[in-house]
Amino acid sequence: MTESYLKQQKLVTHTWSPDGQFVALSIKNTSNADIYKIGQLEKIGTWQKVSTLKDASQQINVLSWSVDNKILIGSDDRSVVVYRNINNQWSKDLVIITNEKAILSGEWAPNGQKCVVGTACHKAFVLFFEEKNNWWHNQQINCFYSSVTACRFHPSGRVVGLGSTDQTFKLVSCVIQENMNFEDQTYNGLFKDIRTFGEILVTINLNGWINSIDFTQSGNKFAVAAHTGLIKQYSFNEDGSLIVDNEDKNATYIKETKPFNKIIYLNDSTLVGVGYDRKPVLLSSEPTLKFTSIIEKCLAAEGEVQKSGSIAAAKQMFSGKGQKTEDDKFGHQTAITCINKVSDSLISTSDVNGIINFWRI
Amino acid sequence: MAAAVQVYSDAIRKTLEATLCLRAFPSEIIEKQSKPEIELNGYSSKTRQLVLSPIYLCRSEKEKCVIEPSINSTRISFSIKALDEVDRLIGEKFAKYLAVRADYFEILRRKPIPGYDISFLILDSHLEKYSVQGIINFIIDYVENIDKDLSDIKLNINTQARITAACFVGGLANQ
Repeated sequence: MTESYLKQQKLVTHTWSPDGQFVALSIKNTSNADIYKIGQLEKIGTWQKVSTLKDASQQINVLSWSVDNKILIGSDDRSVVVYRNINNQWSKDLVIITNEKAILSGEWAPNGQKCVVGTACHKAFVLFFEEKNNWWHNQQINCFYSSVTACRFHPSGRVVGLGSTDQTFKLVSCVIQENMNFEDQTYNGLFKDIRTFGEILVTINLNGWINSIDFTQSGNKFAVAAHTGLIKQYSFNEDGSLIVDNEDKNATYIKETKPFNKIIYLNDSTLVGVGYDRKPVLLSSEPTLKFTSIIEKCLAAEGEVQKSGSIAAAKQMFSGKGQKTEDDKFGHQTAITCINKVSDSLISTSDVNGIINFWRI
Repeated sequence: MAAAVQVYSDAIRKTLEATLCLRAFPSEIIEKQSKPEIELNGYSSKTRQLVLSPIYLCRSEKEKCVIEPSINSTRISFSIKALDEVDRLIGEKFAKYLAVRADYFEILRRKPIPGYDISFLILDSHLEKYSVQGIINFIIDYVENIDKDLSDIKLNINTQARITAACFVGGLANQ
């Protein structure tokens, strides 16, 4: 029932709760965000809808679940909404944001105290909560010539990586001066001494629209995926400066066929990319970026192959019946638009046709 | 001859596979709207980063194709080979016949862009409904068969003209 509903209503993106018990789905046709309680992970039919967030009037592009159980929603109707879970009810906070166009990308900071959204009006906004006014206020980052299509916080929470359709990636500081207590005081790694807002630390031109950015958990490397099929990985020095023009440290992977939509680091040495090729691609990121393998079978396909025994398969073959390939029955028929890490060895991907697949690494 | 068309259609296929990586993208000019960026190209300087350079594939001086990609739409235009006036007339009529029925084809543009005989406009919403390979196969099918279709029409015209002329001259001779 849930599966057919998703296929009919279409999916934009999905995100998991911190405990992995719930998933929020952005439904394209209804412009709502549905929250489901997971029954059996890979069996979508066992998922139960527990609530619906209905405040957007157009497609929800941004759906992010913070570590302290807040949900960030950004929509094509240029609205940004932050929901808190109070006594199992989702209530929305007032958000003050001065954007003029659609929200394209967004994410919570690692400690959940602030968030960043990228918009089609060539700006990015960092939102933080003002307790005295009980609203989310914003500070804007205005350094791009085109839409901000990718954003990701560094593990320190003090800098944010932003990518745009003007083909540049920028690393920008985002420490809110009035609220230093938003920052993680126990953090002791790169950028711990950053105290400014809006300072551009790094600018990189990649000759293609930036589709996705991710940092490693340790924060000493990051990768950027461009629409030219390129993924470029950069390393930081110990003082936070970027190592550039060093082919040993900066690795490039070029995909000859189709570009990646999203990339994530599973750990410091493994990167997964998904996109128009409809299957996740595993890359190793140490010492340099190198293709490892394509994950051919999703979890659903593995289960099905185990069930149909060799006799049944042989019967079908000799009877001349056209056996559907696994690509037809399982996997994605259109480009993968979203990827999330479910656990250390499991990722989930979704496409616009409402298909959610799980892949074992 | 078939080999020459094959090379041309293979080049178009590979280019389309690369340029049909589209995504839904809201307009940077009009809020709450989504427009094909390739059609708005030149309307505002703000959106010029969203449109890529056009790719020209020429089989000969008269037979060519231009593929104009952008972030959420791709426009493909073809120029049909016309060796004489009859070929030009047939090509025009054929293209007009298809363009009038553009609604049925969905990906067909009602009016071809200047300098070309037929144009296709493919949006990200088309790729959600139809498979990319299906759309590419449809366009390649058109490219590979258009010459044959037009020469069949020309042959028919010549045959009918010959029969008509024979009847007319026969009638005159019998008088």
